[in-house]
Amino acid sequence: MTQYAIETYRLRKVYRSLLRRQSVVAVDSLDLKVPTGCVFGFLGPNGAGKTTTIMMLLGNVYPTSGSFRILGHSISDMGVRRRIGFLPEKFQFHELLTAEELLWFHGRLAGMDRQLLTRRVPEVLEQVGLSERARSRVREFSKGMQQRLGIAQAILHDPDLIILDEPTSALDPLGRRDVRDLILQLKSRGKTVFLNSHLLSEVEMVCDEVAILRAGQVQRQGDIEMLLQVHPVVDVELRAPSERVMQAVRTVARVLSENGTRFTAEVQGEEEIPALARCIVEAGGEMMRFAPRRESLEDLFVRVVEEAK
Amino acid sequence: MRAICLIASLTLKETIRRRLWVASLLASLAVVGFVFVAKMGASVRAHDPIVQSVVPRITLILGLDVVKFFGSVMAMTLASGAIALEIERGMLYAVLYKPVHRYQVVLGKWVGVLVFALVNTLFWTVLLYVSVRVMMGKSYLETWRAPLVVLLYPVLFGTLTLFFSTFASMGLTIALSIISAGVAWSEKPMREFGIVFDIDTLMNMANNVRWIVPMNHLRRWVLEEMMVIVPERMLASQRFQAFENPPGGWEIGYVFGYIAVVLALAVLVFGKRDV
Repeated sequence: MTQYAIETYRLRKVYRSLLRRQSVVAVDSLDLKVPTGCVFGFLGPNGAGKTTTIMMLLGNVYPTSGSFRILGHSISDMGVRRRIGFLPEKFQFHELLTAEELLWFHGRLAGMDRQLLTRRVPEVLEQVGLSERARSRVREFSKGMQQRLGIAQAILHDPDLIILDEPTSALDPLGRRDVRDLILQLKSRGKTVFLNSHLLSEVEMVCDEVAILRAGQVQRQGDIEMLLQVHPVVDVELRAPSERVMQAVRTVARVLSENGTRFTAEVQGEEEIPALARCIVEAGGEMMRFAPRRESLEDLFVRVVEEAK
Repeated sequence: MRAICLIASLTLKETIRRRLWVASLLASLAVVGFVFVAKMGASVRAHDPIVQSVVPRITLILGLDVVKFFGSVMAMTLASGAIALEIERGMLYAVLYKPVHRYQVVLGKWVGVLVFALVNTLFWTVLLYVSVRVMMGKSYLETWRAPLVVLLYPVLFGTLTLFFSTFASMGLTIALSIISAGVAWSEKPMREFGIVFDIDTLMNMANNVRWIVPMNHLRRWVLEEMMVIVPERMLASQRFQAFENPPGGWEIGYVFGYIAVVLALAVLVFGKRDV
């Protein structure tokens, strides 16, 4: 087994207009390493190049320069393609097929034999909660049900690497919980899950590592616990707003947001938290609430994206 | 091979479930209706032996034109959405990451589209021959090779449209297909006008156009296979002799080569493009 499920080396994609007068750099010198067996969050604002990266990794879009390896092989290797599962962000299945027929088609295409499919199709339909709709045509499905079917299609052939592009965008809270459970279950079986999602709270719950992309470049990558422990955040509520207190706070911390009597400040490390409390009191501030917390993934995301601007 | 068969059978299954057979049924009614109208026209001069001899033959010749038209339109309609629409709707994303070569996707679509179009074209041709036999009492089984050539129409236009579908949006694919059919069709009127009004430019244009989409080679080939039933008066006309010379062996070869090259281009373009 290779150490990395996905490795990219200075991957770059430039889209050119038909007459080559305009060009857009979608992905720029992307170096990414996704360890085998982890749940990897691939984050970034709209237009950051996430979907283009995924499409390159799957061989749907050709890179302008750079290279990458999937499960230690080139994507042109048909053997490695058998070991990949993918749920696209924007997709529509052949709507006149039934759920069962669709899975049979994709299973056969993935190289599965009839005997295996006879066992696996009901199994994955059960797993995504669609077993009662196995004989229904896809066009009768809601968007959320189609997304569940898409997940079933992605895991049907028991792949080693599952790439999920916005897998919960059309799901209700229960559906999202099911997908979270499924991702954790896949991880427990040693599978690698590459997750692109804007729902940062979910990513925080399931991912081991994240990469934050902006303008086609990785801005931050690493173990999620390590990244979030760097800068603790404190939510403070004062009895009355005071400019003197805020000036004092800015000497020891970075104010992230300010709203009347409340503000949120980021300190350099946990050891700075008592200093922040002390400086508020010394500046004459009366605290109604002082709540240190770990930086959330959303805080980190906003900070990283804004720093990169 | 398995991937090609899977994609072809999926294309076929989707086509059938989209109820395109309803269009096929309507076309069948049009074919039968055409023969019926011709029979009604001939019955006005029921005792004229020349009319009774010529009308069934003309009906069959023109009826094959109707079948060619329906077959070509059906193939173009199916092929226009085969790849372009599936890219636009994101259907191919879940297919292309599988252990499937892109050429297999193109060939699978090509086979699926053509099987449906060819089965229908063959059915309409048989229906035409049966209708002429039943309504007019004449059977021209000696022309059996002509329907086989007619089958090349959907192959030609289906392949060309599928090629457009590999790089253009569905709307543009339809537009390009219609333009191609228009270009192919324009050869005959250009040649006619060129001869009648003695305009060399039109003749030269007609000579060039026939290589762009070689429909006229097929048309003349079908006519050659029908020659045994072409009425003598039509054969003797100066116009017929000027336009309808049978295609040479190399012209027939050009048609097959053209289809093969267009299909190869479709495979090449789809293999190189970003999806």
